[in-house]
Amino acid sequence: MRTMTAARLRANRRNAFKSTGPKTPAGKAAAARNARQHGLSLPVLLVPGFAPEVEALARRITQSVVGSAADPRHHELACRVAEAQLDIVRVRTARLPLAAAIATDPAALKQILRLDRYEKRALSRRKFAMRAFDDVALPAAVARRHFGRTKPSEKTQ
Amino acid sequence: MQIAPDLPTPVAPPLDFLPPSPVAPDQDASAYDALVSRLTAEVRPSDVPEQIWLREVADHIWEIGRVRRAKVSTVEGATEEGLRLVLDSLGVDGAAPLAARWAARDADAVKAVDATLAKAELGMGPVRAQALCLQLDRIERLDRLEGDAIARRDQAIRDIRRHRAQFAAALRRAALAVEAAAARDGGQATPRPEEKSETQPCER
Repeated sequence: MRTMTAARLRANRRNAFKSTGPKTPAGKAAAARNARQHGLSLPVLLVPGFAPEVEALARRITQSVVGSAADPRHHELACRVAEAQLDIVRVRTARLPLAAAIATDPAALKQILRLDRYEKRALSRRKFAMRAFDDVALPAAVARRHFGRTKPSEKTQ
Repeated sequence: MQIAPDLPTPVAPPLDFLPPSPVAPDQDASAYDALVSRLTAEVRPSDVPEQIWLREVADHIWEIGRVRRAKVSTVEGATEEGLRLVLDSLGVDGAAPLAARWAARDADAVKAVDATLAKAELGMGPVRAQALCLQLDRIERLDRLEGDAIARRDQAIRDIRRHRAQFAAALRRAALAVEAAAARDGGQATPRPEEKSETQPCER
């Protein structure tokens, strides 16, 4: 291992300073717009107009699984599932025209692979959100559908 | 949060909870619809999460087919260049025009190429190998896309299985609790008529 001398440390700092991002106003402006080209890095709830979509989907999820036994906890967990699902829908909508061109357009293929990380993240979030929802909602669904209770008792948890 | 001022602010389009159909304009939409119908008939999704997963399985199956076709057409598209390289390496004069006529399925050119390759004790294998080498970067990207689609299809299937197993486990716990309570009270548990066996969670 090489020993770090004071001179080498100073040289490292000088070199690092040379490679720390854009210098010109145009470069800084371009870098400031990184990850904002398609808005897919924004959580769906921060995009204007999507909150009602999340609410509506969460209600559909809760209603379809738990029905009349739904409570605010179910809805809260379903909202997390709905957010992730709508993020997946946004990514898939963005990649649709690219997917049609993968056989002919090399740029489309690269772009799809770039978009893929957003879908991967959203899928992962939805998986864990769905597990959390199922942990709470399925006992309630069983109690309502098969035993006529609107809330699962402690014994069935 | 503000979006960059020179970009249009994204406005929520009228979204359904399922992604748009993955069918390209030049593809047969009825084949995709048939795939979804077949999966729906087999799986019988019982709630919205299962509908989401089922649709995801269908979309990934469709995507895998598209990527595999893209791989084939990518190699086929480079076959002419691959043949030219092979003919060049065999010292054939006018390899490029011969390869171009072969690609256009000119009968004389096909005969000439077959004869040249046979004389060198080669088949189309080296030509395809050259074509693959020329497009290796692209094939690797398509492979990655295909691998991701396969992994996601399998994950959606596992998610449906887990969801149903968890429902069955909750049902089992509830049934045991009802029976235990009935035994304590000295009476009989009286489940509702629509109670189903835990082995048929899909029919809930």
